[in-house]
Amino acid sequence: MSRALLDIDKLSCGYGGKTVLEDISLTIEDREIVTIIGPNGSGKTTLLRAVSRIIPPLRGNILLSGVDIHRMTPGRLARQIAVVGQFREPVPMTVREYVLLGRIPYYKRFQFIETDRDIALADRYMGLTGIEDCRDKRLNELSGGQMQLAAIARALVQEPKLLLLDEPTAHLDITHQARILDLIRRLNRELVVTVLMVLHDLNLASEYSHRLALIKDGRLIACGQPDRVLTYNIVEDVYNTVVVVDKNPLSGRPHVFLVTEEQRQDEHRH
Amino acid sequence: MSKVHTRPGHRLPVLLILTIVLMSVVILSLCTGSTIIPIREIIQILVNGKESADHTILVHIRLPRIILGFAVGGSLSLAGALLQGMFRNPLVEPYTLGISGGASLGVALNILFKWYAIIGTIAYPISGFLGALLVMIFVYGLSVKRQSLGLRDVLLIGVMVSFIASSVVMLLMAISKSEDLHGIIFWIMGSLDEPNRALIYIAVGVSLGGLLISHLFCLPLNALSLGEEGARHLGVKVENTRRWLFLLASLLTGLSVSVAGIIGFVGLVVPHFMRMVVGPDHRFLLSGSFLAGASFLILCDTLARTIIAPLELPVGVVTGIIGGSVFVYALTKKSVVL
Repeated sequence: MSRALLDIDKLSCGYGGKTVLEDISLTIEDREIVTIIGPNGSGKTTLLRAVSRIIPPLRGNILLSGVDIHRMTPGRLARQIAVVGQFREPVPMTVREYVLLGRIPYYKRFQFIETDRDIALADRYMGLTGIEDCRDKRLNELSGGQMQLAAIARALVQEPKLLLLDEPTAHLDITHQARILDLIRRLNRELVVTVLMVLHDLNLASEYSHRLALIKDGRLIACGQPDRVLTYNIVEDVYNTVVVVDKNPLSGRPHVFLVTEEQRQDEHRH
Repeated sequence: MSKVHTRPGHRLPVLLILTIVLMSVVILSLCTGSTIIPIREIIQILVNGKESADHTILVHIRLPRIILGFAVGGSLSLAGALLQGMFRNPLVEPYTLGISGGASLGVALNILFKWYAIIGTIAYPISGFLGALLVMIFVYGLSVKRQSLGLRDVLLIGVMVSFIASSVVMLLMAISKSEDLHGIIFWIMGSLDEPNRALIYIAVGVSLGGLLISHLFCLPLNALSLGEEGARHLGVKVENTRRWLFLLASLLTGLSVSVAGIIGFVGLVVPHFMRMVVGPDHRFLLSGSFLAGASFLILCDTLARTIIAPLELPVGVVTGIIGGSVFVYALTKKSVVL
């Protein structure tokens, strides 16, 4: 039996006095890809921020390999969890300098210069993510897709057990969406990285995840394999939209089709 | 295909060049002034000519100013680099936090109430430093008391404190006698003319100590360029870092202002310029800014006392005109991201 890498136990958290997430329990096994889905404002990003210890829990615990994350030093946590966030600062540094920032959790006290291993890791992950040709470009010269790949490379040099990604495919065309998600699958398989990410696109989530966690209004509505979560009554209920769910003929995974207003009216008449 | 695995961002050659520039500026500054002393003769005068007039000029007039220029220019520029990195805002400078406002208010009060008549000329730096200290405690206290207070709020409070302080200084000027007025204006314009040797040594000690300590924070500062959350994800204790950097920058600025008055622009332009030259990596940016700031201020001071010699221009005027023009030129010349 695989053991849980991340154990979120009855977590409630929020900002100020306002509770955003209420009583969330979610276990993520080693080597899993779990995707959090749900309507806008349902608390998906908040869950990632709680796991990366940006916001403290009001109630409940988050255990990483059995240890409460709030009992770890910031450095130790950063060596186990890496985050690819949604917003990027336009920093005028080169891709290589940017990727090497991910080694900061490994610097010893009074160490100023990166070791050969740091350099080798940066080169390796720039190669793996396919951005080695941009290594000397500045971040502000990159396209959105390249920027996202650089951010993933930066997270990977942290050598995390758990990789958190917040909407890694936002604002990207389908070429880059597929490239990023294929990369995440490959990392998951080859580097044994466990992935917890937020995706908006239900069909991408369905294709690329082992399990989905559906959140609405801060509560976990459903959690399980895609065909257990993406049923038309759950999706219609949570998103308040009429949909048809069918199977992707190639992968056999559920695919959600939108039903337009006109089609709905036609159906009614027949 | 063989790849060259170079270490990135090794800007040590640039730092070496900056050091050479600094030494050249020091020598130039020793030579020039109301009387020109040739380079060849400097060492000979320093060693042998104890009684000569040139010796007095070198050791008692030019050298102290150069040393003070080194300390003040380096401190202001370093403080600017630290604050710009911490606030992730290129328009922040040491004076934006209201520290200079507090210092000028302190000095204005000193001149008006003639504290200098009681404890001597040391009253100028002391009152300046106390003014700066009060503002630091005020701004810092506010940001600690309300944990949620964002960086932007701290910045705005600093700017407002500056406005309030300069308004009060103007009020004091409006009601003060003309001889006091001259003293206040002269101090506000800034000068490296400091008769008290002990203060010069303190300034040098603090600036070099500050440079050393600041390097403990160069990796957290690099991490902070990813934003506050990004830095936390890299295991940086953001609050802690900010607290120390704020104190460090305040100390450097407060001391500079109290010894040399208000010398604008060094803390804003030099670190910014260095970001273009050295790059955004704080491991090189901090020393680069210190060296360049020191060179820049010594050079400006040399110009200030030569252009209309034997009269002297306020050095703050020179730094403003030269720094501003060079900066605008550099920005239009090169497409740089601000």
